[in-house]
Amino acid sequence: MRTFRIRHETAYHYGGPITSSYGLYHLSPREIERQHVLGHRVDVTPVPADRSSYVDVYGNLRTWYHVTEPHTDLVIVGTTDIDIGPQCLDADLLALPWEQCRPDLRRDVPDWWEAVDFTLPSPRVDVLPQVGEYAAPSFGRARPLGEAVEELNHRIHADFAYDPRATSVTTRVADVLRIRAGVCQDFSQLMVACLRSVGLAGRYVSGYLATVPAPGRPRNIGADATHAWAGVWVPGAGWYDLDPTNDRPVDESHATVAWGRDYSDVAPVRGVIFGAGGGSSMKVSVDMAPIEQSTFPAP
Amino acid sequence: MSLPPAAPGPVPGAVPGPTFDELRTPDGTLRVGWDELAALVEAPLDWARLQDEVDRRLADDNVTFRPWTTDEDDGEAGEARFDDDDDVDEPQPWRLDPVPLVLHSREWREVERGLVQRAELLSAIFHDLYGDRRLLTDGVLPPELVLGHPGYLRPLVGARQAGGLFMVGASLGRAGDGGWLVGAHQTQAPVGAGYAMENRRVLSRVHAELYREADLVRLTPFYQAMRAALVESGPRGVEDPHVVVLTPGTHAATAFDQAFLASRLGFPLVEGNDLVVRDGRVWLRSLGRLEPVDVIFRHVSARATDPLELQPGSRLGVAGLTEVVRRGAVSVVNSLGTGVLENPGLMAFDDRICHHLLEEPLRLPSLPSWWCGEAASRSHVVTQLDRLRVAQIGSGEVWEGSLLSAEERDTLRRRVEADPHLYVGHEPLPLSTTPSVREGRLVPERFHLTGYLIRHGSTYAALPGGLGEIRTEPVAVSYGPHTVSGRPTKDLWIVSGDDLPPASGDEGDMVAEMIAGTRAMMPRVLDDLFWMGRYAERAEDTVRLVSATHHVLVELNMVSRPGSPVDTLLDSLYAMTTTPRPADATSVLRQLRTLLVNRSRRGTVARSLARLSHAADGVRDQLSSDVWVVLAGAERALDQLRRRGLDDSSALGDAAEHSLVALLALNGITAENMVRDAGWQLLDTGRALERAIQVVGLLQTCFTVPALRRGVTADEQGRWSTPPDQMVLAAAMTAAESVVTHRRRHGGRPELSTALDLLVSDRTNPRSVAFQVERIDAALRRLPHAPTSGRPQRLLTDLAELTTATAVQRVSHGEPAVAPPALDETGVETVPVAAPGPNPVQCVDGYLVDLRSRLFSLSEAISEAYLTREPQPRPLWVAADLPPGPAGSGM
Repeated sequence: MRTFRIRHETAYHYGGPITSSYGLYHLSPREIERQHVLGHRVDVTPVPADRSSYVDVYGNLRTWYHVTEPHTDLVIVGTTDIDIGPQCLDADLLALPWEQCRPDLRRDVPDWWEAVDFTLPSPRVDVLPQVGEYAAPSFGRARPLGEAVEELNHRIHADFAYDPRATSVTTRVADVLRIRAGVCQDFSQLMVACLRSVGLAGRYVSGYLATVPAPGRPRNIGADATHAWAGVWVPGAGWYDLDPTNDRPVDESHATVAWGRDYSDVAPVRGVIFGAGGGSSMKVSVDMAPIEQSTFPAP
Repeated sequence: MSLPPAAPGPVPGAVPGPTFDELRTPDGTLRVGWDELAALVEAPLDWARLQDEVDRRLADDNVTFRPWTTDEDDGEAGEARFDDDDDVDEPQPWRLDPVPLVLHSREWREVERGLVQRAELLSAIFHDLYGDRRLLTDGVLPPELVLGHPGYLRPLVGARQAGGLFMVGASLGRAGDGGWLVGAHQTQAPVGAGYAMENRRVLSRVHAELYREADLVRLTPFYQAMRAALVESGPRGVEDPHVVVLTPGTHAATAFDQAFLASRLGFPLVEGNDLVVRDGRVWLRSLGRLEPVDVIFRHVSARATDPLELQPGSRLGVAGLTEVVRRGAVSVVNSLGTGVLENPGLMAFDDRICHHLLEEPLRLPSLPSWWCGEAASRSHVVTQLDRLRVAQIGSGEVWEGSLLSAEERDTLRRRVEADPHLYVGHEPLPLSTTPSVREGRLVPERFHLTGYLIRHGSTYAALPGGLGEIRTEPVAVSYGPHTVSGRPTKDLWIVSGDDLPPASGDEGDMVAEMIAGTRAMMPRVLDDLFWMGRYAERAEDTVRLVSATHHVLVELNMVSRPGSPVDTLLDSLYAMTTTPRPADATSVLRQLRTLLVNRSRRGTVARSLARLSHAADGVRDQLSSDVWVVLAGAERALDQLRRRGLDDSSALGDAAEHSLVALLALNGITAENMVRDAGWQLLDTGRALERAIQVVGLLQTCFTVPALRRGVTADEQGRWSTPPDQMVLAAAMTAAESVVTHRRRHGGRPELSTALDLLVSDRTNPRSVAFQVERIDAALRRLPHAPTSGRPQRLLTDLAELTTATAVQRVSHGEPAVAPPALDETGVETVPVAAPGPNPVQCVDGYLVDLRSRLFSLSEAISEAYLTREPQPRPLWVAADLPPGPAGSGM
């Protein structure tokens, strides 16, 4: 178990005054078995005239806001103190033959139908034949699920170069496969597509990664921005999350914020604006550092 | 005369087996229902004439559809509203068969019960899928069928939406044994209730006597109930809810349907841009104020209603709407997310669902259907591909198995096997035949029917009628995409069999007048009305000038030489319509013809009429239906000319005269029959402004420009003494409708100065510039909540000063219109005027150029002050080097 303070700042600057800005954000880490939120707040400047949160269909906290004060700079800062532990999955379940983990074959498990949602193509994840071809070698007959997905995770890490200039927020899975490079978002969506190509349920997870690795661990890639990884549904156990960017299962360096079918379900911030003047720029900075003790007032 | 037996010829791929005949039983007697209307099929009727009458009435009401939808923005400011090349899709005329479909109420009652149950079932499915999801947890519906459908909107799961499933459309067709089957549902925004109303309106007039005498069930009560139900749909606790009808705009495929319905129900028709979310509510922008909106009757697909949450980049929606819906502060009907019910795959399960949710059997069966996500169904579909109809869930793509080649079937089979959960197979229907008019004769034609239901308390009420569509191709029942096909439609008459109380009022009349105070005064509507005024005046003035030129041409025996009066007038026409004069001159007559009828050319009468009609389309809910009759009349006059020879001089004269009469009638309608609200003031402003621009242009192009070209000297300034000059003057004065006044006041010695007096400064002449300036000033003063001082007012003050009698006199004498003002202390407000030229004609010319440019500035200023539409939403941030992505690319 480790304790962190996460600070995530997103700053927009516009060439002319914006008179109305509507937005949605997913910036509040989830309360789940392996993590516990000690304190959390999001500050939006200028202060929104209207703001409210609700729990979305996947259980994430989603916040809607409307800023009406004319502005040329919009800054959204999320601050969280959080305890994080490792994933604890039953080794027996990870040893199941992967074919037995397809939701449509596991109607004995109560949440099977919800997992079906994650086997279907989604707005950002096309399950194309070339994806299936890429995934196939990892899914030999009756191979244990854990082994299969760890190998897939490793292959993506090995075959694809980490290159922030290679792709953008709109890059699709087919492009990533072609150019063999990308960032955490691309690798995660590719991994999700691979899982779906063999009938498994794959989810996209958005979160943060500790800026400084735990002692004796390798450098964390992608820690200076928001991070993302992928999860596979394990019948009876929930989800097994893997980080293809760092070639390892998710551990106590990973803070989970939200999950969905792909990036479009859980984008950290998105919005539409009205106002004069063209040109805009955006700056994102993330810091996730260990702390001794949370200084947030008790939640 | 009796019909030939209903034996439709072999159609490729026709469904084998018997076809039900709507008209007669197998022994040849008329079916119950038709016996009441035997006059339609047994008396010899002139069907060609009746079809013509139907067509004419539809044209009079401007009933149209567009073959496809575009969501392009048309909001272009400037002199013309559109680029020349960026013409809007031509709307196509709506088609209606003069023979109604006929059913007896005994049979209809059964269908109705089935439809009502189906609507209740769909409503129950909707509430389940966005609520407890028992259909999924209990395993009644396969999850991939629901979760893989694009109509399933995850942001609305768990939201307690106030609206619910308000209206349902269901497509029906008959099996060979005569049983009715449902083939598709329209649950987003059912199309056609407005068209159905219009079809009835037309047929009830075409067969007026028969309609009055037969015991037919009337439609009007359904629309009255619809209005009441919309009002009742408001969020809980709202006393007197404000209802609006949301449309994608006049470019939409079925814009008529929405606008007609809105106008008959008495609710304002709005576009997404007219609405705004603020303080957790939806508001209507209305001339400088915001008015609350409680119920949105949407005709926009759910995804397009919110560019923030549902479809980035949508220009048809309202940013933030989803959140207001989630909070229950606005009712959207149908609710967001009802599109999931249009999934054709549900047809394979609806009997099962009916048992599960309503605990009763399904009364009106669906087309036998097989969802390929289940192995047994898949193999059934795959082995019967040569017979079945296959639909892709989501995309709506449909294949008629019987029409596919072996190779195409193979491709389809592979597609089905690759993604079985995305496909569903349906049993094709033979459909029944009903007498219909083809080339003036009655022949049996296949058809299918769309029925409509609205929520009525805890259950639903069905329209006692429907929208039939003739199907000449061998297909089952139509599916959404919710647009219309352009096939001929049918009106369904239900014969009651009871003695009905005499119906009051005509079918298709106003259900409710829009309450004057709630007339929507969105900038978009005001803009449309302003341009309606401008195009109406432009069309009228162009017709007058073409007509006047034509008279001169006839007087001169069709001869025109360079510098001749006709030549001068043609130059004027081209300058006024801002088109270059063609270098290779065809005959003058043909040029005049083009200036009247060619719609693709800028500035022509036909073009102005098309623009006028487009602007009017956008505000159909604000206008009397007489407007369409009049516009159709003008269009018909041009059409007659189009059909005549290129060199038919008298036809040209007639067309000009008839279109002018129609335009004058339009003037009359707007002057006599329209409430003097803000919209009318802008319409009048547009008309006045255009008239001023036209008059100034006429003076310049008929007087000063040719005079300068001929080098008129100072001492003969402005004196028009030669017969050709007189002719041009007379023609121009005729075009400006001031020839009589001029003759009376100034006798036969026309001079530039007298023309200027009459057409510029005479405040008693309703054609003069000064008159228009006063008229605009008065109209703008009458706008509610509008600024009373601003750039338009300053420009008007200057124009008033420049068009006084003194000013005109000074200019005629080669002096500046206004004596150079002494600088006031602030030194700001001086009136710049054209510098005096050495030659008074030149001076007048400069003066007119200056007036014209000031009038254009005024138009711009008015647009800016009163008619500016809100900017379109942009993503929060887009990387500079990247185009906005297709989805979720908001950051």
